[in-house]
This record gives sequence, structure tokens and C-alpha cells, in this order.
Amino acid sequence: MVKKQLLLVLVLFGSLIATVVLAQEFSSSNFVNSNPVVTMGGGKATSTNFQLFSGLSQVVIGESSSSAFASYAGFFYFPFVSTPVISATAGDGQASLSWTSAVGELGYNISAYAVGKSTNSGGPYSFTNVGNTLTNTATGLTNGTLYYFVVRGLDFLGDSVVTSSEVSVTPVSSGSVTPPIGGGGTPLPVPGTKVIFSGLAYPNAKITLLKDAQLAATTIANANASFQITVSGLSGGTYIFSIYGEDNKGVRSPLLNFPIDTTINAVSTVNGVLIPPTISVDKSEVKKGDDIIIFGQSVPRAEVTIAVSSEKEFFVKTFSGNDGNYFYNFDTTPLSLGQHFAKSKFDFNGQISAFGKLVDFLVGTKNIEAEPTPTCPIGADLNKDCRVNLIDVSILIYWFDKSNPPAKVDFDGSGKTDLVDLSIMAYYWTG
Amino acid sequence: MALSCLLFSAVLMFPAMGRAAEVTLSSESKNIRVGDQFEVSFFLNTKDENINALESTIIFPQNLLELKEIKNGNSIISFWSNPPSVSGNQINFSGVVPGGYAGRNGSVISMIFQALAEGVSAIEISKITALRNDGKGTRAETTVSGLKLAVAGQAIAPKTLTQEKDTDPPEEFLPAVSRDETVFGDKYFLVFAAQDKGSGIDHYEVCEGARECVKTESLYVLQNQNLDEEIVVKAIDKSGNERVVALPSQKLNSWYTNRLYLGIIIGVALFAYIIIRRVWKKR
Repeated sequence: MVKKQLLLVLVLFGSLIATVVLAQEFSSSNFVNSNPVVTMGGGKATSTNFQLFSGLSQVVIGESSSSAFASYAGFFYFPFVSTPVISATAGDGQASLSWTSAVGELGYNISAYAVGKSTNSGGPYSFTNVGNTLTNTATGLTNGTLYYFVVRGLDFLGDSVVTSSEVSVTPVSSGSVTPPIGGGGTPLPVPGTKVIFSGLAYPNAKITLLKDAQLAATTIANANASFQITVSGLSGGTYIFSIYGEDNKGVRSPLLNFPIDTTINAVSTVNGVLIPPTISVDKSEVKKGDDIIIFGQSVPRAEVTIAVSSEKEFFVKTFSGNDGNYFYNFDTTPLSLGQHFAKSKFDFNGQISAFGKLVDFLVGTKNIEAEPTPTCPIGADLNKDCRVNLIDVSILIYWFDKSNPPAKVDFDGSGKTDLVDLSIMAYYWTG
Repeated sequence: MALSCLLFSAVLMFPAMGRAAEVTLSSESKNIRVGDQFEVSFFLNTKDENINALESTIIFPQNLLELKEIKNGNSIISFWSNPPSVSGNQINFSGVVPGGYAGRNGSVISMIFQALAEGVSAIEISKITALRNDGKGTRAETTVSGLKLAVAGQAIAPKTLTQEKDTDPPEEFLPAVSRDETVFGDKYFLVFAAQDKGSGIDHYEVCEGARECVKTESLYVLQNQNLDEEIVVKAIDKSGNERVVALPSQKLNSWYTNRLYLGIIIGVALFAYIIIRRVWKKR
């Protein structure tokens, strides 16, 4: 009886201080979450075509953080994990696999990876959980047989949340390039050490490949934004390969880096390189309440998610056209006055890119048209040749730790040229 | 379901744990004895970060260990602002990875030591700065793990780390000529950076025209500021293999300095003179 009275008091007290929860609907093309209520416990609900995440603590959606933890409360609308990019290098009866980290948003993180193996393109694959690592060696393979591999990102429940593109590799015997004994035949050609990259960028985009930060090759993507680019003449060792694309306005994507361990006379393949969309805005300052147009180029007919930072992050979606161009009229009413940033990513047939570069704009009291997005890396380009490369870094390193450096090599205005300035230059690198 | 909720909640409450980048020193050598050589590697695990600049100081006990070699041929670092160097018991370096590195096992440098005396050798990372690839050079939170190695007993046949013979020359590279008002008094200079994944680059030599070749680093002020001579750059690795790259004259020679051009012009003028004279005589 006492318990019932206590419960009644608690309910009445709670009703007095309860916050009104707005039942905003969240929907996608194949589900609607009507009149949602944030639960006081975390959970995950799934069916064949949707997943619903909810979190504990606050009864409003938001992110709380301190130096030691972060709490993502409420519905995790548009949670996503970027698709890992897998590479494979043939060995003797084995294949060395590596992949990029699958990056989660809104607290949605990858806890482990599973490598799938098949002798048929498209599977079915036999999966092995390899733990939270970015490399694996598939052993016990038959030389001369073509194998197909994918990698899946697993969440903390062990569910697969993202799957890479497929990569193929044919293991070869380390002695297979020697001529047959006594047969009089011709020796098999030595393939040479090379790495082949393929992926998606923008229609007819110029793709640049850097090897250890220096220009190695360029190519042009086709009308569907697909590209393939090869670098050869390599030694056996660790390389950092970087790829970026330029859209139809000359705007560059961020550099995507791939550390690859090459093996002498082996071909490494890297499939599913997804170059993030470019992004621009039509106003450098927008009057609060007016629309700002966010636009750029991506893979044709892709779903483009745009994230706009504010006190909380807003996510909106649009689709790119056949030419890869996309735009979105963003209503700035919910944004506070001040500086904001936008970034975008694409989802094309389940292949999800990472977010691209940030574009900034001010929410204020008037509208000011934005200058066209600069195609040259302003600031870090010391010799003004529209590139940031060996020449610029040489000039910067010349002034490293010297007194009274010129302003142009002191990007952060600290009065000296140091590691911070080098880091800033490295961010804008074009090779 | 309750367990799932609990797990889910726990993950949500502590997602930031373990996100700091990590640098470690590790060695595969065991049972080290006095006189043995062993290799210690410096690795970067960026966790959820994207790191593009790194600066560090490693200290080692000089009374117990002798540093024989520092290797950086297979480093994730593309450009060294301070190449790895030793000063007393300290090894210092700093450099950048354009575009950043995001990975678990990035090799930065490795060091070959020789054990001098018995005892526990502590090789420690006394300073580390890792900067994010965010266009601002924001410092990333970083944890360090040093290495303690016990050296016990005298080696009867001391282990030496024999390197695989490197017969490959450094990879092809492309030198560039430039000038800038802030360096070398606006004089033309040459920049180049070659890679050698085997033994690593030892040094470069620059030969301008018929001048004597000069041993140099990767930033070189040209002696011939007229840029009218061929420039040859040699990259030589630590095994003595060399890659030679030639840069043609950056300017077309003045016609009067090229004997071939001069001869052709004089010949044409002479031929024209003879023709004109014959025509004139016929009239």
C-alpha cells in the first residue's frame, strides 16, 4: 500500500516537471516512425527493411559530452557507418587483406570486422570474425584460383552494419614465374609490382593518385563516375597512396589515404574507393530564416546526406542528378546566429562514402552572396602555382624553427613556423 | 533484451573511451644477451583519429645500449621536418603525412640497438605530439607505451641483424626548379625527394652542367642561376644503389651561344647572299 502511494506521488510529481516531447515523425523511403517517444532505456529494433535505434538518458534528442564520455540520446536519425575500402595482395597460397576503418556517426561505432571469402563473384561468402583490426591474411588458398573477398563492419551486437565492395585476388606460387624445367616453354611474364585502384567519384572527374605524397598518375572518371587507376614500378614496402577528385567546377575533394604494403611482383587491388561529394553554398552570410542553397557534385543518382552543424546537428537528404550535381534549399530558421558548417556524403546502392570537406557560412541579419569555392588551396600554396606540393613544403621546412619567419609560412600566426604550420599545409596537400 | 539494453547503454555512455591515438615501442627480440643486436620499432595507432603530423623524442640508456642505426625507408611519414637523428641518449624526429594517416599499425621509424651490459633497458617515449588532419593542426590526445628489455648473460655468438641485400635503386623521382622571395634571396633552387623502400635514401648529389657534383640535401640552391644547363640529380641509397634523373636546361640557349644554330644561320645568310648576287649579275 505504501509502495502504491509512493508510486502515485512519484507519477504526480513527474507529471508536474515533465518536459513536453514533440512527436516529430521520422521517415525514410521504406519506413515511418509515427508519434515517436524517446524511451528511458537504449534499444534497437529491426525488421527486414528498417532498423530503429533509441538511447537512454535525456528525453530530448541531443548529445552530451564531457572529457571522459559522450552520450548520444534520443533517436539516432540517419545513423550511418562509412563503407570500408578493401585491398588485397596475392601471396603464395594466401592473400594479404587490409581495409580502411569504417567510421560511424552519432555514436554508431564498429566493434569488429568479418572477412568474407568466396570463389564466386557476389558470393555467397563464408565469413570469419577477425576482431577489431584493419588487416588480415587469408591462408590455405589454392594457387591459381580466383578468390573474392569482402569485409563487413559489425556493431557491438555482432550485427553486420556495412559491407565493402568485393575485391578479387589470385594467389600465385612464389616459384610460378620461373620457366618450366626441360619443357622448352617460355617463362611466365613477371607481373611487376603494382597497385590498381577503382571506385566512384564524379562524372568525368579528374582523378589524381599520389604515391608517398608525390604525383604518380592521373585519369578521368567515366560518365557514371567510375574510375580505375594503376601505379606500377613499385618496390616491396609500405606506401601511402592518396587519391582525390576534381568536380566539374574544379573543386577538389579531400585526400583519401590508403596505406598499402606491397609485395615484389604481386598485384594489389583496392576496390570501392568512394570519393566524397564536393560542397559549396550560395551565400557566405544568410539572413536567419532565409534559405541557403547547399550544392556540389557526387555520384549520379545517389542519395546525398548533408549535415549542418549548429548547437545540434541537422541532417537532410537529397538526390544527385544524372550529371552528379545536387543541391538543397536549407531553411535556416532553426539555426542560431553565428558561424555554421555543412558537409556531405553519398549513399549509392549501399556504398556509403565518408563525409567530405566542410563549407562554412554565417547566419546573420543579411544575405551576402558567396564567392565561388576556390579551386586553388589558398594560404598553403606558397608559390601560387595552385598546388600544394614538394616545393611548398620545402619552403616551409626551410623556415622551420627559424626566428622571424615571413607571415606566409606562419599560417596560425604563432610567430614561428612549426609542426602546426606543417600540419595545416599537409591538410591542403594536392601533390 | 535487458542484457542488450544494458550493453547498448554502456556503449553509449562510454563511447569516448580508448579513442586517443597511441604510440608504442615494440621489439620481437627475446632472450637478449650482451653483444646481441635487436630492432625496436615505433608504431602509431591512430584509433579513431586522422593524424598528419608527428613529433617525438625517444630516450634510451646509453650505458646499456648502443644505437647502431635508425631506419625510416618504410615509414608512413612522407616529409621529415627533422629527420630522425640521435643526440646523446635522445632520438628526435618530426614529420608529416599529407592527407593524414588513419590506421592501427603505422610504422614510423625503427632502431637497431646493441646490448652493451646486463640490466633492464628502458626505452621510453619522453615527448610526443600528434596533430589532427583538420586544417588547424589541433593536437590529438595521445597515449604512449615504452619498452623494457632485460639483458642477461654474455652472448657466445652475438646476434647481428643482417639486412637483406638491397640491390634495387631508389624509385624514380621528379626534381623541380623554383624560386621564392622568402628563401635564398629569391634565387632559383632545386627540390627533390626520392623513396627507397629497401635500405633507405643515404644522400643526394647534384651535378650542374660541367661543374663538379655536389653532395646535398633535398633543397639545393642552383649555382647556375641562368638555368641554361642540364641538371643531373643522383639519389643514392644506403646500399650504394643510385637513381639518376636528368633535368634538361630550363631555358632555351641564346642563339648566339649555340654553335649549331649559329652555323645554320651563317650558312643560310651566305646562301642567300650568293643567290642574290647571281640574280643581280644576270640583270
